[in-house]
Amino acid sequence: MTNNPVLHVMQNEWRKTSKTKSQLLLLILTPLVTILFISWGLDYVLSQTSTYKAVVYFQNEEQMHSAEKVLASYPMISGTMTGDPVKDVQEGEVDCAILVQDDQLLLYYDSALLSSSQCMKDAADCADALAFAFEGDEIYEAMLDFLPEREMVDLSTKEDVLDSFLDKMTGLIGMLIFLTMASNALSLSASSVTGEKERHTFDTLVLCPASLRKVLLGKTLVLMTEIFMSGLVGILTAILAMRIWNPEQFRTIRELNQGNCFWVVLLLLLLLSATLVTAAVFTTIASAFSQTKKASLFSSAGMIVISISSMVPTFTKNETVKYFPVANWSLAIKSICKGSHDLSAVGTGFLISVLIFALGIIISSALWERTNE
Amino acid sequence: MITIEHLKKTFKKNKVEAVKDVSLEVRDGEIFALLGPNGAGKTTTMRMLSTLLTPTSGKITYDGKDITEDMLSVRRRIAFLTNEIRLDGQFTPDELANYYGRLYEMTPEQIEKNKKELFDYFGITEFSKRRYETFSTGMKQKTSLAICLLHDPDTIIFDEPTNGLDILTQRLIEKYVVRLKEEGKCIILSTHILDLVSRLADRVGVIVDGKSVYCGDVSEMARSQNVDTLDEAFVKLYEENHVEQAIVTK
Repeated sequence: MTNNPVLHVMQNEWRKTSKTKSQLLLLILTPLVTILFISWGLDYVLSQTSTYKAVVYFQNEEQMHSAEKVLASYPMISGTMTGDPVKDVQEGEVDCAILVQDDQLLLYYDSALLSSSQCMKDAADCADALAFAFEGDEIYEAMLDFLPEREMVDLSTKEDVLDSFLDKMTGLIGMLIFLTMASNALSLSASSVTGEKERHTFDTLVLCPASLRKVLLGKTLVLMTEIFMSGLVGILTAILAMRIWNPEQFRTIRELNQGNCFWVVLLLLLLLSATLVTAAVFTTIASAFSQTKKASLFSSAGMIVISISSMVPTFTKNETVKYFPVANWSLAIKSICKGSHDLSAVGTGFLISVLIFALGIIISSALWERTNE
Repeated sequence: MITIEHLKKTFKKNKVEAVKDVSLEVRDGEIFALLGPNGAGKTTTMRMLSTLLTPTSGKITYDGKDITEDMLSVRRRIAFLTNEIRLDGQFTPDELANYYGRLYEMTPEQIEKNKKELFDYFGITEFSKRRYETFSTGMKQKTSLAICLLHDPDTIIFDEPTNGLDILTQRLIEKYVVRLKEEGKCIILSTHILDLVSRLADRVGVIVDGKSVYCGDVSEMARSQNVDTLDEAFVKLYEENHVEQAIVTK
């Protein structure tokens, strides 16, 4: 049997995690449930903003008859002679209501409830057309003759649609994967590093003839495995969610990456970089808080780090961001999805994260040792 | 042999001078008792002896070698047990012994042999597959003791090991201390129980206000203070050396 203390500590730490079934379950369930739920939620919100209900309220059959032609040009807008437009809008039954009166047209909407800007635009266009219509058939016909024929041409390509989709999704879902990794790292490192002091098990460990750096390395390597697992579950869940709720984009991404499995390597490298940085940062904070013997304080400090690191890419427009681990997270996922396999950015990020990890272990063990001063 | 020379420890964080000047000598194969009132600096001295704390100044030598120079080799030869030390609750004594045995670079055969002997002696064998967290205080202490002694150390440092234990467990531990001495081990014992000191210890060191005020044979201590009992000698040493702290108010 090899006498490497790092391996013994790793075996022991892993056994500890596997004995705490709830922790192991949370490690997998947190990214799975969070990402599935948020993906569904995003899809629901997007579908809500792209559909709407607008109704024209007429006072008599004659009005309704005169407006038939106009309404035919607006298939999303229907006409009715019953109901109260104000009540329907306030109760959220209708997004926009156009009330046709003898001498005026009224457009009702509730800005607090209205989720689709397209609805307002279409309702305003329809109201204009109705105004012309009620000025008299002749004028209306003349207006129609005068107005050139309108045709809408969507110039977006499949890639543009994907780009816009990825902008919306990678920012949020990508960051969510990272956040679940970080929150798991927070609780795990609080237990395995700071917790040693709180549980009074630290002295027994220090008294062993193994250097604290090796003990800490063993603990951090297991922490890394756990964070990596959590991140992998997150990525697989995001892929599954995309397949369920955005099959078109999923197909496009598959087509863009067809015949080249390099994206798998890049994605794993990216995940490993984020894991290395997260493990290093949280082990360092946990070691610093070992002196105070307060895992609860560590949680607050950890939350601050999570919040800052998740916001960094949002405020950084610099091109060099793509080379920095964690900050390049969303950008890299987006570029991998688009079939652009930029190894230089992900590779540089990985090398930097290895350095951060090594530095984290050195600082953490120094901090851990300081607890005995 | 362990020699402590002008040991001093000031905690940086709260600037408390826990140990001011302690000089003691502990010989091979003896039971050495460290006596002192609460807050005298016994635990801090014990923790420095076991390499858990680094002295601010002064020197501790183990067989002539400064312990701060090669702490890892000192740790292979010592065991330290206090009633504060705990083990990971979700593990069984069996798993704990295997883990710490491997960290002490023991072979699986050595671990098995020592584990069996210690577990049998302390009555842990039948509970060896049960989680440590489910044990009573006494059983936890016995398990901690067995794990601490697993690597067969030369020197065993006990910091009030029988505190909070029932009389039966206290007796079991006392008997084991005697057995360790018979095996030629050196035992350093910190306790408040003077009766225990007179029954077990060969020599004694007394610390008052962070300073060592006596180091010598137990049998000599009363005579040296011109009193009849160990209790009286301890009280006399305390009264002669204790300096009332002035209460400083802003």
